[in-house]
Amino acid sequence: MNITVNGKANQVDSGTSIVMLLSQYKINSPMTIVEVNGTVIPKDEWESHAVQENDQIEIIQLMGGG
Amino acid sequence: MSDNLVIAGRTFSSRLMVGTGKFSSAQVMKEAVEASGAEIVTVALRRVDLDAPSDNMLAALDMDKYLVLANTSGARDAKEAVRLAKIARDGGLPPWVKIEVTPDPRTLLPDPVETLKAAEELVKAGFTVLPYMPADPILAKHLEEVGCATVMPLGSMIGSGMGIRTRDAIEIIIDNARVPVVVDAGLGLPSHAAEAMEMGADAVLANTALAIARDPKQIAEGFKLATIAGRMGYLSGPGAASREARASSPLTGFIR
Repeated sequence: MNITVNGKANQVDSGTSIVMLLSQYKINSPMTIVEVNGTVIPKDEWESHAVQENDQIEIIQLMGGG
Repeated sequence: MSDNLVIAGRTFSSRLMVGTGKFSSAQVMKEAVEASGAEIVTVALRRVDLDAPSDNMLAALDMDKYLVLANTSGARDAKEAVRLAKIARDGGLPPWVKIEVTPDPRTLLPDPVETLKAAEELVKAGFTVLPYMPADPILAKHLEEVGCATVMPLGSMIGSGMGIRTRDAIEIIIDNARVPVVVDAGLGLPSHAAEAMEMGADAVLANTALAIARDPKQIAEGFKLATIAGRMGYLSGPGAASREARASSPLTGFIR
């Protein structure tokens, strides 16, 4: 299944959840925000939310800033 | 003496806000933020680098102790700023935003037109809006009129440490304002913070000055004290400067 993550093409198995996707990228920061096709997915839905074909996904992090 | 800062109905005892960027480590950042006494801390949003996800500096901070104010840094226009603000809110941060629209990477000066557009839209969307802005008194009025909770005129360019180069304009903004005025950007030394507060600013925001100092914790405390000192100077109703001496010792009874 083809998806785009942070502007880069990626392939994942169908049924991949947000949690699985983040663990593939070794991202475990509590400061992470995930947006799928322009909509932020609440953290409590990361387990159940399955990635779909052609999804545009942004994995965003809160960082130090002024 | 109770002299609190009130922004959008929320009360703060500290008049110093600090940014969390550019510190050498999470521990150094945490210590500096704590030493500053700040209750409002700013953060940025960025894409995770998928090839090298890094430890998050912010994890060191006890986020419940602070009002975490997302900025829209990186936004080049109103649309991008609005998107960032909504991502931060939907991602679980409070619906407060520091608007930063800086299309020119060399100067990072705020775009007045796009800042006003973003402010109007975000106020309508229910945000408490704190816009980083050029030190322009007319723009400050417009931002206030569309419902911004503060105005945040720049002292000088972001990260420049040049201090308050916009003094005359900021004085007019302070005179006119019916919302708190937060002097943001360019404050490089505690004395710059004191100067802004003595002018009657309601608060100041510093980041780079803390992050790049040899001893961030110490300068953070310096900023804290200077902000308090400047505020006390302002509240005390200082006498005006004079071109002539005014003797402080009696001018009679000289022993000659």
